[in-house]
Amino acid sequence: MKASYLITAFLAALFLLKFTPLPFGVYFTLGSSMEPTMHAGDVVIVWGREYDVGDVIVWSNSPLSCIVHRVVGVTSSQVITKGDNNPVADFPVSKDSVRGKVVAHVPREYWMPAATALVGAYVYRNRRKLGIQFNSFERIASAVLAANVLMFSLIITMSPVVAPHASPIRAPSASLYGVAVDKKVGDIIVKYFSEGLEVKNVTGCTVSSSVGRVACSYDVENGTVYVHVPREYYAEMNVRGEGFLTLVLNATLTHDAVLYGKYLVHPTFAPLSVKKEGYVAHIVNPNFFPVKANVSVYYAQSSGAWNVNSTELNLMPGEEASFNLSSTKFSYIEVKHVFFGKTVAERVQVTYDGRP
Amino acid sequence: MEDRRLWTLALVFGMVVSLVGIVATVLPLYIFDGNVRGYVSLASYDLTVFGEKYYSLSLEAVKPFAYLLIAQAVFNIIAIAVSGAKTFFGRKSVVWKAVAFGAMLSTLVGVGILYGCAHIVSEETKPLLADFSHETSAGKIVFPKTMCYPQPAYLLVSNFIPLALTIIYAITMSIAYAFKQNLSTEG
Repeated sequence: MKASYLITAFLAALFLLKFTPLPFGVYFTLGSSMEPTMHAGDVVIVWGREYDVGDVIVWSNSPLSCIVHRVVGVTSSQVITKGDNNPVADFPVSKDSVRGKVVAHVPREYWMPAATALVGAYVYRNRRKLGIQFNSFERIASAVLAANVLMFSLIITMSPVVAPHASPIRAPSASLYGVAVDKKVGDIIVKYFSEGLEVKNVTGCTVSSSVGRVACSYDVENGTVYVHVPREYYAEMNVRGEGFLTLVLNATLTHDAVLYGKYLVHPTFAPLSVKKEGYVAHIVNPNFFPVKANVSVYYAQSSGAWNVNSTELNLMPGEEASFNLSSTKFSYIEVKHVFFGKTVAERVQVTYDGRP
Repeated sequence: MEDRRLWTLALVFGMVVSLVGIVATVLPLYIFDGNVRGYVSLASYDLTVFGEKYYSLSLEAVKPFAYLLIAQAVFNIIAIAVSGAKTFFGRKSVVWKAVAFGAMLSTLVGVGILYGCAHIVSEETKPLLADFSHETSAGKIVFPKTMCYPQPAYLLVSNFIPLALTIIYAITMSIAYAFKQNLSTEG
């Protein structure tokens, strides 16, 4: 009997320690703020006040309740904690409020059956002193049933209140970061913002507009898709004055997902650039597709009649054509081409009275 | 003699009920394959959803009940084994028979808890089979269907087998107990 008194006194002292300023104690957790690390009904053992970010501590601003949360920040005078299952951190608390660091925790599944068995053994051993008599069939059977019901009741009391479908599942996703046309090569660049899904490969890719529908080749680099649209397609769009095309892209994503994307693309076209540099006229195609141009050079020597020299050019993307008119006294150059469905002509004077 | 036969029959039913309880609690109810992988049983679960470990508050809440159901079944088996052995060898076993009777009454409570837990697990796993396809600014994202394979343990908890066995167990043991009482009264 003396041993049982000692054990009872020891257990009582352990639980009473939390009401003292000493950094030792045994606490029960309640609620679900520390799920999944700790569950309601778990026992935590606090020992010492040395703690750092990442440690679980017990702090309290009142003698009646304590908080068991994880340290997420420490300043010179305050501590910021957060429950593992909480979306936001707690208000900063003074370091003086910290009771101590959690050094161990005993899950409820372990301590509850053990404690019940101990209590049961104690009651059975001291049944006569306690005035309990298991001397009949009915009493023994009732005791077994009562112990069982008590255990279930304890678990129900400790269980968090949960409704079915309480755990939302967020599927990974991907959204469009942007679609742009490379001004140098005319590739359509499709960039995605990954929220757990990455583009692995493209299974189908077509562009369509009033020009028609064509299949395109493509490359995938780091989740970005580069669609190679035929240059002739852009050239035809320019001729027809079509400003938009629709890109249909089918791709396989991570997690075996499939993407069916449809994007409106607006490639920008530019007219041919005609510039003069000294006696030389330069015609540059700034587009990423070939442009056909009719170039007429008008020249005259002193007061004679104007001569015309016309040529048809097919300027490739970025290509430059130069005309040196230093041998002429008066000259200008006229460039005619189709820009966005309309024929435009640009005329630049190159020489005047033998001077540029 | 009649008393012994009825008790033996009741103990056999009790043993079957306990084993069914353990099987239904420990073995997986469902096995998932696809973007959701893993298994779910009443006592444990190991699921990965889109490659990430899945944690469910409901499934965690079911675990302690499952542990207690297992402990109850084991206790029942021990009580049945001891009282059965004593009955078989013709020794007096009032205490162990009383314990077995108490365990049987507990099983009546336990079978309800078993169905309740199975219902929670079933409801909790339903969202795992949802169609996760959705539309974003990138387009329509379609995920392959997750396959769910119900296991033998699911067949046990999805019908009335455990309940029927428990009721038969309870009736048999109660008749055995009432028969004994009659014998005692008459004697």
